[in-house]
Amino acid sequence: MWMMRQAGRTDPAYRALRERVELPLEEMFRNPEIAAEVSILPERIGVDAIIVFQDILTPLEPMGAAFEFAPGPRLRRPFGSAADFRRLHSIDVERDLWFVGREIELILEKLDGRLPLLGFAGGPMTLAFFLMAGGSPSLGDQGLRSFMREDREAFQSLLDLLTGMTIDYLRLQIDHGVHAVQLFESLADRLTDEEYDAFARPCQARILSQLPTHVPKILFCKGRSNVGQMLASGADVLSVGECVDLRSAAEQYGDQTAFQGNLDHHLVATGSLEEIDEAVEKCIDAGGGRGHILNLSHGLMQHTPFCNVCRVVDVARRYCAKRESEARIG
Amino acid sequence: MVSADREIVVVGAGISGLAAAWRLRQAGIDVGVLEGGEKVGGYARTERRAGFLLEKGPFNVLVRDASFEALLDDFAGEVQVVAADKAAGNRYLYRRGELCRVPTNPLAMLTTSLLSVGGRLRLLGGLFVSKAADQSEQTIEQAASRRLGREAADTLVSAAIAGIYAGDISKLSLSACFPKVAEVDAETRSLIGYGLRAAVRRKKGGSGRSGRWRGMVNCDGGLGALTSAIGARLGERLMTECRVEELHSVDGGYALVYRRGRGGRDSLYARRIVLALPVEAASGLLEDVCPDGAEALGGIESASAVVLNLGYRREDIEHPLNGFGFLVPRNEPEVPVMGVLWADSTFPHVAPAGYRLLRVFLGGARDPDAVKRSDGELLRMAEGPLRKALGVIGSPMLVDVCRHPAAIPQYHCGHASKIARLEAAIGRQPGLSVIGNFLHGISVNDCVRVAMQCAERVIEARRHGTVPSAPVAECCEHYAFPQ
Repeated sequence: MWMMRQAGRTDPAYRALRERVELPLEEMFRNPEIAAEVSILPERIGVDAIIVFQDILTPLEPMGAAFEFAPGPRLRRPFGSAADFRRLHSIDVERDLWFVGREIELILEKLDGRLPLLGFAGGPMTLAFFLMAGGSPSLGDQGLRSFMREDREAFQSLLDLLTGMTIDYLRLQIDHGVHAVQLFESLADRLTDEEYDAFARPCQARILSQLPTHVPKILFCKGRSNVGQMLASGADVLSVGECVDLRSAAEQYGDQTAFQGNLDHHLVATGSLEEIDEAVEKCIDAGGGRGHILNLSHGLMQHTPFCNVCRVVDVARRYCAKRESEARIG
Repeated sequence: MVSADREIVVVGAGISGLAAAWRLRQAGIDVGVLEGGEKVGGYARTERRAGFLLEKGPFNVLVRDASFEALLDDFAGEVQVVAADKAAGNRYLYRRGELCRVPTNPLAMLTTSLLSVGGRLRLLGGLFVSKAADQSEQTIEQAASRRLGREAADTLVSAAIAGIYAGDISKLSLSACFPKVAEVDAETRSLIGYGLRAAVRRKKGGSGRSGRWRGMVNCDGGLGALTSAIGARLGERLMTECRVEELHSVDGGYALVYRRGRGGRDSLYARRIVLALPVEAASGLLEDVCPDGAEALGGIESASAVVLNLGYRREDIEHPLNGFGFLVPRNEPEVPVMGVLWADSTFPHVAPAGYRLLRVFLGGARDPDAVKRSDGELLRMAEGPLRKALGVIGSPMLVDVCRHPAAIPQYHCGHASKIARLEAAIGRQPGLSVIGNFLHGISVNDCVRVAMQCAERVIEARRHGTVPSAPVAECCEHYAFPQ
């Protein structure tokens, strides 16, 4: 059990640390000591895994697309037109993203084997959305859509560039010792089935097939419910949202894949402790107790009370222990 | 800036935290208190059992200034103050299996059987001369040996200090433990001359406070009645079983992460924090917000102590118990107790008619492992000296064992400079205060005084829209409270 965005604003210790270091977010990502310190903060609340503290946009900066966070991500120099994407270039991850490797080493040192460490990267389609919008694509994605339609070849070469980088970036993380990786297709909910099959899935499949087989690979496709379609990417674990019925998915696909999810992150943000308890227990039951990583539908929301975050962990532990002892007796 | 859940949160509901919270509440401030344990009072707790009033920690309060009197006055409706019986003036020392009365004036000192002839002659010499040779910080043992002679230090002084600090006189600092005595020691050649002058001063006029409660007091329901009464008046502002695990500086205020009983963790935001915890816990919580302060406190040791409350039938004790009790000097190493108080001789209401209550102190620097011993072992350790010195026969009717690990901070040499470092570090952290028994005295009265002074500083700072002990210019932009 762990939670996407578990090291973040919901945790008072994180907020205090941010104030103490007085650095903009993008600078914190580039500082391995600080990023490592942030990464392991959730250990004390009892999660089962630590995830590297970074943003999916981190590797775009050396490629020529620097984002800053104010507080949402914003491109320093937005791309005026699709032709501008030619200014993006390939990178040497060891040289340009050395700080992520160092951060992983520091985290592993601090964890001293107590918890596994997850690495991650953004899906190329998701990165492309951010590049096109020059920030969070929540305002609209007309630019990307017209780019996709009008200059298919240029768009494909952008995806190829991002895919190549992502393979190198995840390999870098694996080389430095992460125990598993997750690919975040955080904007997958904006894609039609056709778009997903045409653009997102091939990129995902290429990335996942190029990574060492011994490292478990989790695919997170926000808001997508077609399990078979996601499985075609070749992931070992699917991170699914509440749009997927976990029980029937586990029954149908349990022998092919493991599942991660799918607690409603809105409920964790606004629900009462009793509602959270109930949701966690239901989710664990639906997951069937095997091949299931408890997580949220999406990342923790910024205004989630810290007690709710801790509650998820506490209840999950208690409930799993209860299930286990009942199974032993039964 | 986040909206604070409370303007001020006091962490810890021992006597220090309660006194500070109560004073802040009286001033109309939105204060909350988080206490880790089930009950309020910290060490100052009382249990009623079979007609006995069992003090878990301190037994009597020596009223020394107006702060504690003010607290007693505020709760006069709920808590009746009880003054100590005159018999408490008689104090004894355990000497080779017998009890000897402690001389209360210099002349009696010269005839006491507690010291050998040589020891008494040395004492006589020391009473007239010998200021400290140099200005460096002295241990109590150094000062006492120089003034009173080795024998008196080993006997009288070691016993008295065990009774207060449960500590080791070769490490405790005279100036940190007894600042007034240290002053006299540094300035006065003749102790007899000083004694005479002091007596004249006392006759001429009081010490400035109302003096309604002179000497030692307790309450009709024990000290726990006072702490419970304060807790009750704080009402829902006080939350028990909320153990604070983290303290962070966030958004110009503070975030506390705490654990609720057996339940989950939660967080709370406050503009200001008053830490009122034992020294070790205070040091731990300061690590993030004030690492220099945490480090300064980290070096302070605390002695463990065990209190045995033993109830006996009156006829099972031969000794008349006409006094406060007896202490055991360190040169009686075969006696494993530090002292025994005859509780109901000082405060008759603590034992039912026909019974006596003895309070036996074990542990301290002499036996650091006492808190780990079993009840049976502790009882056996106490029974020997009780039989020898008091003629106690049979077993107690009632046994109450109170273990206090790392309870009494030791003001060793260097203590004052540690506290100065702590206070300087805290002063740089706007809105943060630290109080407790490790700062300026370990007695209940000292704790209350320090707490009240802290509360007054907070109230004053708030009135000026600043936070305590930080430069005004720095604070104004963050702190503008509606008055």
